[in-house]
Parts: sequence; C-alpha cells; structure tokens
Amino acid sequence: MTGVESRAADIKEKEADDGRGERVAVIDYKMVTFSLAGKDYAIDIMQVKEIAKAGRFTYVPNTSPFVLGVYNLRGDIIPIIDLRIFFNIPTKARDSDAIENMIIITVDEQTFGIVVDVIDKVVGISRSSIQPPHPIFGDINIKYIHGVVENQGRLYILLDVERIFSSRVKAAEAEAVAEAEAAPRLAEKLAQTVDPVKAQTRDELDISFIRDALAALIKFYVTSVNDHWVAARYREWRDIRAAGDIQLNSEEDARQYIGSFYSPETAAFWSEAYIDAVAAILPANQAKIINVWIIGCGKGYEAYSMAVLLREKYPSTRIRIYANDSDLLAISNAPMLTMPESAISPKYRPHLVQGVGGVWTFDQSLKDMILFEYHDCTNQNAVPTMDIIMARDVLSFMNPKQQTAMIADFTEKLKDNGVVILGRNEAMPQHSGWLRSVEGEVVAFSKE
Amino acid sequence: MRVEYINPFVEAAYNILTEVLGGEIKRGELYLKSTSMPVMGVAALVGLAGDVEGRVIFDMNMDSAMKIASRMNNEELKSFDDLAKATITELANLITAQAVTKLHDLGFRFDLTPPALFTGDNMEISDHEVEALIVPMETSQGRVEVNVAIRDRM
Amino acid sequence: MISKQDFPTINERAPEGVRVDGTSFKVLVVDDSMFVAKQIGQILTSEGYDVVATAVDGLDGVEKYKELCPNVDLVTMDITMPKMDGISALEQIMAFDKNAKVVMISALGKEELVKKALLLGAKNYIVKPLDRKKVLERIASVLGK
Repeated sequence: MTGVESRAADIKEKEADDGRGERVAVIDYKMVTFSLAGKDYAIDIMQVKEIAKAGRFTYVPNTSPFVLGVYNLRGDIIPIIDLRIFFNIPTKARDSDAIENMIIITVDEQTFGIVVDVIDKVVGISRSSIQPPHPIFGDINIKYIHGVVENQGRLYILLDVERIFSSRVKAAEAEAVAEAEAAPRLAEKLAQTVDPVKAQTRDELDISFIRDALAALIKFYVTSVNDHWVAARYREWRDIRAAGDIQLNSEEDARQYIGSFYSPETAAFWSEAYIDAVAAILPANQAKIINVWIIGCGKGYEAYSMAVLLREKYPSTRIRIYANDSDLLAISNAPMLTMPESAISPKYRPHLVQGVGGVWTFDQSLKDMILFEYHDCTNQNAVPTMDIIMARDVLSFMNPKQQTAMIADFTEKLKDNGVVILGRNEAMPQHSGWLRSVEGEVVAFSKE
Repeated sequence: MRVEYINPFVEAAYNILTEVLGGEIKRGELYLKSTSMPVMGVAALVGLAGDVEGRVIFDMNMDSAMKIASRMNNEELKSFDDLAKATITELANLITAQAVTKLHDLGFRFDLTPPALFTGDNMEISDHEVEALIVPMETSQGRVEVNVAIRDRM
Repeated sequence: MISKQDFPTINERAPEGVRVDGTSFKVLVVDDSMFVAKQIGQILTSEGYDVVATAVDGLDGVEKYKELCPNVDLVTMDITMPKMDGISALEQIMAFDKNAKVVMISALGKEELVKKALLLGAKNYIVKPLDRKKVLERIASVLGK
C-alpha cells in the first residue's frame, strides 16, 4: 500500500472504530473535480464561479506563456490560464481549434478562467477527510496543494487556488487584461469569441489584427482591392518575424509590413522602360481629345511622365491631364517641377527647356497639357469623362466607404474604351464588371 | 482648385487685412472642405467669372464682423447697421480684387461680380456640394475664413 | 523783434481743399459703398474740401453732375457699381462737360478698366484700400497744384 492508501485506510478504520455503526463524517465541503494531464484535481466549490466551454480565446501578445489569452465573460474581460503550463507539466500542444473546458474561479474579487481537460462532477466530502499534501505528489509544487482527498476510489489533489493565484499569476493576469482593455477593437473581437461555432484559426486572427493595425497606424485599409497582397505578405511576414513578434505595434512596424506594397516608379520620373510598358497597355484611341485623370499626383512626376508618354504616342491629339492631390505641400510646386540634368533621357529631352540658373523645366506646351489641382478626390469630382485614369497606390489609403465611392466614380467617369491603372498590388474587386490586362509590371482595368 | 490660384488669394488676404486692420495677422493651415457653405454667421460673397466660375466668401462670426467694421471706420459701431455691412462688403471686395490682380499678372483672366452680404439667419448659398479651399486668417478682431470655390471653365 | 509767434499762420500748411481766396473746392463723390463714400468724405473734409454731394451709382452720378455743374470742381468715381458702372458714367460726364475733372477709384490696379478710363478722359486714378496721403496727392495734382 502506498502512503496515501494506508492513510485512507486509517481513516476508514477510524470511522469504523467510532462505529456504533453510525457514520460520523458530515458532508461539509464540496469541490469541483476535473482532470489535467491524466490526473484528478479538485477545487473548493466556494471559489468556483461557474463552468464554461469556449471556442477560442482572444490571444493577447506580450504576456506570460501560461496566460492563454482573454475571454469575454458576459462583458467582463478575464484572463485564461493553462495550469499545465503554469505547473510545467509536459503536455501535447493544444489544438487551437478545439472547444476548451474552463472553470471560472474567483479569488480575492479577481475572476479568471482555468483551462482543464475534462470537468468531472461536484463531489461532497467531509472536511476532516482532507489530508495534508505529501511530497510524493511531485508533479506540481507542493505549496500549491491544499491537500488530498479520497472519494469513491479516486484520489483528488485539492488545489490551493489562493496560493496559485498569488502575485506571479496576478501580475501576468493584470498584464493580459490591461493589454486587452487598451485595445477597444479587441473588445469587439471578444464579442465574437462568445460564439463557439465559428472557430477561427490563429492565422486568421493574426491577419485581422494586422488589418486593424494598418488602418489605425498608417491609414492603409485592407479591402478586396488589396487583400490578396496583404494575405501573401502575411505569409512572408510570419516567416521573417519571431514567433511572438508578428503583431504590428508601432508605425514603424506597419510601414515595414507594407514596404513591399508600393508600385515601382513612384515619386520619380518614369524610366523609359516603364513609359513603354504603360504606352503598350493603353488602347488605340482615335479621339481628338484625350482626357487623363491622375489621382494622388504628389509632386507631379507621374503627370509629367504621362505627358511625355502621351505626346509620343498620340502626337496629333489634344491631351488634357487633370492631376489632383489633397496634399497641398506636395502639389504646390508641381507646376514648376524641374528635372535634374543627370536624369534626362532621350524620351524626355525634346520636351525640356533650360531656364534660369541652368535648371531644366518642361516646355510651355507640355505644361499647358497639365492642370494641377489641390483637390480631395473623395469629395465630389467635377472632371469630364476620361480616357485614362491613373490611381496607383491611392485606393488602399482610402477607407472602405471611400474606396467604394471612388470605384463608382471611375465607372461613371470612364469612357467605354478607357482604362484604369491601379497600383501594382491593387486590383478591382472581382466580378464587379472590370477586365484585367497585364503588360510587364503594369496592370490595367477596363470595362466589360 | 488650381494650384496657381491659391497663393494670390492667400497673399491678398494677408496684405489687405494687415493694411486695413493694422494688427498682427496670422494665417492658419489651408484645407479643403467638401461643402462650400459658410459656417460662422456673417458671410460676404464676391462672384468670379471669366476663365473660371465660382466665388469667394469671407466667413466670420458677428462679433468679429462688428470689431472689424469698427476698426475700419475708426469708431465703435453699435450695431450691424448699413455702414457696418458696407464696411465688411468692401473688405471682401478689396481682398478679392487684389487676388484677381495678381492672377491677372499670371495670365489668368478673372472678373469680379458685385459683392453680397449674408447674415446668419438667412444663409442660403446655393452651391452646397462644391469643394472649397479654406484659408483661415486670425486677426486681433477674430477669425476670418477666406472660402474659395473655383472651377476652371472646361 | 519779430518772431514766429507773431505770424502764427506762416508755418501752417494751408489745407489743400481751400483756394487762396478762401473758398473750398467742391467735390462730387460717386460710390455704391457707404463705407468708401464715408472714407473719401472724411479724408477730403479734413483737408478743407467741400463734399457737395454723394451718388450711389453711375446713373445717379451723371444726374447729380449735370445738376451741380458748374459748381463742382472734381468727381471721384468708383468703377464697379450697379445700374451704371463708373466707365459708362465717366463717358457720359465727359460728353456733357469736356473739362470735367474725374478721378477713378478702383480696387484693381493696372487694370484694363483703369486704362480705359484714362483713355476716356479720367484725369487720374486711386487704388483701394485708400491711403490718405495718396488720395490727397492725386486729387491735388488733378486740381492743378
């Protein structure tokens, strides 16, 4: 017989010895029993608030490993602890899709949840039958054991929850809850966690956090225009970042994430190769006047590059380029943009004139092709119908409602044989009436 | 709004306000508003025609209007009477005219139509959904917003 | 000893609006803005000129000129006015009296309109906002001093 069993036998004998056949032990203690890594445990029912099953927890970064996350218990955000990790019991990794069993505990007015393997039942015992812990129960630190008790052939290790949820765990919990409460959008996510049916993978959860961070930190909005790129980028990102460091916690993180998003030939005069690619993707056009709309023209590089391109491609057509930007500082010097001598290539040379101080600017007739306007395209647009719309890397920096309105504007303003050129990693929403064509790095959309 | 049109209005507002009010004039950050409605209570409107269509509105609250009119008349006006109204209207005219002169020098032909004055209760300026450039000017007599809505004639 | 105090008026500048014989120059102010008319009036009156009438538009201006003639020495004429603008009023006044002395008041400088007015017979022009010194200088020069 083991020490425990002999003790249990002693108790029985004691009872029996008292016995005038009467049972002396009174049921004055109830406990909730459960199993953890194959062993039976129990907790005083007075400390158990309730039992719950949950589909998934909201993962909270930057907390101790035994804090699995937080859970929305009817509005209260409570931390969820995995005792096996806390007790360093070797276990299989949890399947994050699984429905977990939780015991919700309240200690010192703090509420938290414990994930367990199986919740068994409520057992009533006599307080006197609780034996002090013995070091033989080496799995967990003895100080966390209130005692052991035997009941109907099973041995339960009674946990001292007050000791367990002492400063170390409390600090971790406070951290977790603070993290969760600091991000109000998380609360919305938590509202979703209550529904156990829609299990979400860890990846999907991480991507959705990244989407929120991109919008909040740098006003980059993920929609069907760019979500294919965001998802592909996530797979890369996950590989280059350390496991706990996937989330975007700063503007710098966010900018790093979208670093590879931008179209080539941005904020610079276009190379001859790019001019040729864009020229190739433009449809033939016999019109007398060609109207071009450039959204987010910035300092003007794109407008002048397009002007040079169109002059070459349609030499006898009148070209009108409407170049807009809502950044006054960027656009205010566009009418006088100069080209450094070193950058002048054969395509550009014929259109440049040298002015005061040897500075090269575009000739007046080319400048007259372009109307630079300080204008916010998310306000009403008064442009005429367009042959070409250039909106490279612009839609992604508009909120979803504005993106939809802008695309509707494109549909309305674009001539039937016109094209829209978006950013390299942007696309018109699928099945919305747009045909896609590609020419090297350039992607264009036309109406079906 | 066409980039070349912006500076003439900003400079004209600064120059005229400095000249007629005498105190320190501070220009705020320029911005675009999706609707061109004036918002503060007293609005002097000058129409623009020629190469463009549109108008300039000088938007201010009643308190500032009274202070500005008093300052320009070198006497404390007691109510927003005909003289006060004529004074604010003239201010609008002066700023717009100087801007137009500068634009003229740049090769843009604008004409001014005679100004009109609107006060709070009957603000009904027809072009609600036209984008406006706002040039906020802080004067010792209060804030004046120069509200410009111009479209090039296609 | 004779000193400055004995002849207090010698070093005083005579108001420009007053002739040697003590009579004031008579001015007709034509302007649709109550404020501008008041401003011009104040400047002129402070310098001894006599503002004999104010007209609120071109039509009113021409009529008043015809009535007052020859008891008006100078006309200040705003360019932009309702009913009849300053250019048209100028034309009519010059047709009525080829010796009329008209000074244009304009918010626009070097404007085509100002040039046109000068060609039609206006003697000079003053740009707003009104500067007291400039106003008096130009008017004095027109009145031949």
